[in-house]
Amino acid sequence: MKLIDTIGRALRFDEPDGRFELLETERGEPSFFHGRKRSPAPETPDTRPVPKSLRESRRRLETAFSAEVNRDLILRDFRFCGSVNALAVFLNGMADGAEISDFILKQAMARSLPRGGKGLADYALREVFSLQEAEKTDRWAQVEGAVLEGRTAVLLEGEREAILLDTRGYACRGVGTAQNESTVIGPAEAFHENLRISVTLLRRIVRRADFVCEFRDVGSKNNVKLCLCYLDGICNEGLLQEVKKRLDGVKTDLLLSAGTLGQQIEDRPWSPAPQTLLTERPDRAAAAVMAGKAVILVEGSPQALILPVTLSGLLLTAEDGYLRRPAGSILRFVRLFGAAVSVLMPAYFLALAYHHQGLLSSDILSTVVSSRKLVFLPMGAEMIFLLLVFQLVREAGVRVPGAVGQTVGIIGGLILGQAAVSANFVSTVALIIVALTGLGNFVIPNYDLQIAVGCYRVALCLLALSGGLLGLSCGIMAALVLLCDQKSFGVPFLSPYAPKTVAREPLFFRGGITGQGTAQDDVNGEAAL
Amino acid sequence: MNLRLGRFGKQESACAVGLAALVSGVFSVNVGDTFARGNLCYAATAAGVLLSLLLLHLLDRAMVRLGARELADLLSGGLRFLALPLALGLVLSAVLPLFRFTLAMERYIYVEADYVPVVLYLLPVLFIMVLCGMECIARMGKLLLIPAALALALTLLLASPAFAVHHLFPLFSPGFPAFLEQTGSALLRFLAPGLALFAVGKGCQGRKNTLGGVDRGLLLGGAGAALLHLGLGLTFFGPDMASMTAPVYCMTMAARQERLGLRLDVLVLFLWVAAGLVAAAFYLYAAALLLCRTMGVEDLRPVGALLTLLCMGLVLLFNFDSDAVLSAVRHIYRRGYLLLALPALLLWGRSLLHRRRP
Repeated sequence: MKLIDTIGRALRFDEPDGRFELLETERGEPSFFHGRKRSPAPETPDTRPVPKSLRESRRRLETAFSAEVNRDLILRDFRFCGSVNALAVFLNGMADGAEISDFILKQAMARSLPRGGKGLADYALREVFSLQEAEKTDRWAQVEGAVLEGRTAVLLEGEREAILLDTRGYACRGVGTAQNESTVIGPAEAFHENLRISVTLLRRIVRRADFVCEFRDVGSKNNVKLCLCYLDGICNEGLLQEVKKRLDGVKTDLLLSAGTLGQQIEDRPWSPAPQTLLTERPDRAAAAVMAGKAVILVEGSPQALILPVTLSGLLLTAEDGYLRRPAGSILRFVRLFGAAVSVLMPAYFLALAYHHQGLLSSDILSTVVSSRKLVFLPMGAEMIFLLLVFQLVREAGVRVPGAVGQTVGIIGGLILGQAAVSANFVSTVALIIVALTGLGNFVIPNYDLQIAVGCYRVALCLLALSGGLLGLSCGIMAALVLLCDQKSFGVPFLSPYAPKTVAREPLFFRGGITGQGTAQDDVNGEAAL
Repeated sequence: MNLRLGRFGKQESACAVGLAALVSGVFSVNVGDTFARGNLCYAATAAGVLLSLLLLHLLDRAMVRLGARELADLLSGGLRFLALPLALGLVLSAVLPLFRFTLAMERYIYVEADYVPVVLYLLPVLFIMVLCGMECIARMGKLLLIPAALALALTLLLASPAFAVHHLFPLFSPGFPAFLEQTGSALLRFLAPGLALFAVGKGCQGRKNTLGGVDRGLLLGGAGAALLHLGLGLTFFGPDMASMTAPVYCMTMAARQERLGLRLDVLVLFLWVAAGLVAAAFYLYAAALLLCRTMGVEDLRPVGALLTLLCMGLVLLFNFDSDAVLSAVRHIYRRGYLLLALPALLLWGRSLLHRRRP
């Protein structure tokens, strides 16, 4: 009987079989190429005022926060100064309960109402609540936003204004050390997920009255808090306007980190080269601020976003400035050499080995030939395979936590490499070249740039494989043209070299430390050199 | 409006002109005709640079007189048709070095390859550069100045063991008429970079900067080209060079030896190719902008793409082994400068009839 039912149900189109199915809503049909065509719901800003009636306020809050099921929302009724009905609203866990008890409820209940009783909100703000950060508002949207941030909103019966009190007190970790941008010399502390702590870390270094930390909300509904930091009067006004315009244009709901924000506001999303610099070091962000750049800190992200950025800026480390000039210059030169080796070496080797054997001396050629005697893979496939294995080892090392990650790197690098050579899977020469390439790649201080270099490396390898040195030269030229054409917030990516600008930090040698803090020429700061 | 002109400074403009002058000065020489009766090219190159500078300064005076900010502003009042010969001259200036590079690569490096695939590798890069615009080309010029200088130095260094002063003798053997003819044909090589910068003058932030870029670039690039021709003269007897496809490449092979375990001659050639691509893109962009400005076209991309295709088509055509093509190519080498020099003189002459603007 059950079987007949099942067969019958399968043959009918009108009745569901009772299994759960996530049905499409009527939000639009998928387009042919570009995913779903959405008809975005029009967003109307909430311009409602704070209601006079406490009951209406409660109703609005319960509706907005789904209070029936959402037990995080605390609606605490009390009598303000013993005579006025009042409501304290906060999110459990986001707000500090002790602060609410000691500085809001206890203070409000202990007093009696003065004569007159008009301007209650003002009175409460001035004489009752003894919290350091407090403000009043007549806009309902601000009340909801404040509660979401962990602040406490106090609503008074008959008052058109609500009082917002800073009681944020959620749990967070302490200030940690920089993990990805570690240096031998210099400060070790890193930015924090808590926006306030991050701003403080920055303020501790930039102790200037004109250092502005502008707090803003971005995103359509999620309202992520961020802080735009710059030196007023030093940072170019046009740059600031452009940054603010782009931040206003961010419409995504999911903004989890500074990296996501960077992708939302950059010029060319498809370019492999990064157009903003992510750093976890407050000293580096402070140096950028002093140089006339803008820094964005995002709530919940332990990194700062520096913009605009140039290629030479991406190749700098915080340590360059801490070392003496000759040592800093040598390190920088080594880094540039490593980056060049990382991009060019495999492709150059492939071009020579495949198309221009005559260019190699007989000694080198005989070494290459003897190392490949029993290797069965073609040289191009061998090189691409090894580059892929290198990326695998690296990715595994990064994803596996702590000491195990290092072990994976060692196993991958030594044992796998040795085994591959013994098994005649790859030649020793190719292995050496990929190892050097990997070392060069790790010398590049910026993670985004390391990945970008990997993209260019593979593209150049393929071009060298197909066209030898001609393919390689054309590939390099094409890459350079695209980099020349790229701008980060209006600043040419290859400045200060092309176009030439007056730079405190030349490309190859470290500049002097005198005059640091003056805005750089390439960012057209108001106090440029 | 999508002319992709952008803005570029003094260094970038001087580098673009210098690179173009160096590449054209060295690789746009008709080897067969120029060296058949001896070698005077180094002297003719120097004279050509000076003559070109004179003509370009006259053109600059004309621009001052008429208040023009770039070459297209001069082409008004019935002289718009001059944009065509000027653009053609610029396109030919792009074609000649690319043709020589392609020939050299096909004959010396990719011996088993055809001519067409070599051209096809160059085409996309040229396309990207022209479409990215002048700002990008000028920056590429700045970036490639050091590699080009390195190529020049390495070429001379690699050939230096084969240098012998007696290769230059008998001095002035081709005679004065040949010298004049070679100086004339050098005008095509050295007028083109200057005119190209005048064509994109609005991006160069002022007429003074444009003229400064032309002066510095032409003097630097011209000096480099003359030096290389002198090096060629010291390496080979003139008539020996007449049968070579690319004497500059042969020069690096003249004293063949390994340095650092590598042969550097091919690397040097590819450095020249990279510089040549930037120079060609510079000429093509300038020609496209000139046509756009005079015809009122507001989007450079179609014109730029068409000129790039025309350029590469001509590079392919020049390799055809037919008498008509060979004769046309020879005429271009000999008289091609008229496409640039005559309009320049005409524009200067016309400006004399106008009163100076206050």
